[in-house]
Amino acid sequence: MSARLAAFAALLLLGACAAPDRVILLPDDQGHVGKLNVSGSGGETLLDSAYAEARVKSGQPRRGSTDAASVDREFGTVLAALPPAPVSHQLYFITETDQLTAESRAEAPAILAEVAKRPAAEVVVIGHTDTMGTDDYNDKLSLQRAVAVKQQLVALGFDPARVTVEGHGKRELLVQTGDGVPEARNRRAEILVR
Amino acid sequence: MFKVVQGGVSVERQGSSLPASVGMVVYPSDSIVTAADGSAGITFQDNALLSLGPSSRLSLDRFVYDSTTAAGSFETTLSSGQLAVVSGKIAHHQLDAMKVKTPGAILGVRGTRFVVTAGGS
Repeated sequence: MSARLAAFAALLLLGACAAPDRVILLPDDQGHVGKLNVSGSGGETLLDSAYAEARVKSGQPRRGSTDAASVDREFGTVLAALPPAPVSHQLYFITETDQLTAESRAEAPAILAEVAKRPAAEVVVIGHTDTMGTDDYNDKLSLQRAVAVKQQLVALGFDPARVTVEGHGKRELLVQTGDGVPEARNRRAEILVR
Repeated sequence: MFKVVQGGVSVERQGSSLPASVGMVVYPSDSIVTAADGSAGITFQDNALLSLGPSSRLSLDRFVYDSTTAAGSFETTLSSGQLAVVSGKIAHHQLDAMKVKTPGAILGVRGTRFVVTAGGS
């Protein structure tokens, strides 16, 4: 029995050690390349160029490189399963109201339709105001703006449970101004989509 | 949260195995397992994106994230199969706050996009 068991154990051990762990650093959507520190029990290496690769066997990382075609061939399925990258959009409002400007009203359907078609999209809408009026007034107005955007999403069939609304009043100006200054670019809602 | 589920994908949570579906939320200490025909894509609160290829197993060991400061800690273990990663705000905020472990290595993630294979798969 022991010889067979030993042979089986050796086979298992061989199987476990057959292939090294591999890591390949890739350029991101914008072509930027980050860095990865790869450490094993016997050493470490830093990957910092596109398609740089480390194979780790017996705790020892060994550097190499590969190319886009090989990565597509070997990792096509897993890369295709990556969710779409998060995006953000801005819509602008007519002064003192939760009504979109004519320009944003024209853009909104395409933006909101794009959001609505992403699978299980999670959306945060943050409303903002310019510095006209009190904090209290602007807190309420900014929240109304966020709610107005949410209502448009829900009208397109978007699950209301996946939209969070926030009103940040006049605290997070896109364009810095003094108090009491009307500024169209600050009267906005950010739509953060994941 | 699962955004992509193809073929057989399940979540092991507190001793039971649940079929994964688009929109399902994942929690720290969940393991995600794909069948030979399976693949899955998941988003995290720090905007990190992870995907698993066929015949893979990934455990979520730790996810802590403060959305105000972007500080946090994100650790996963790929014990078999293939993983693709686009790191998020945790990795961007602090060096090596995001780690991926494999049977033989620990990856300190300093950004952004990479693929990993666990040996022996």
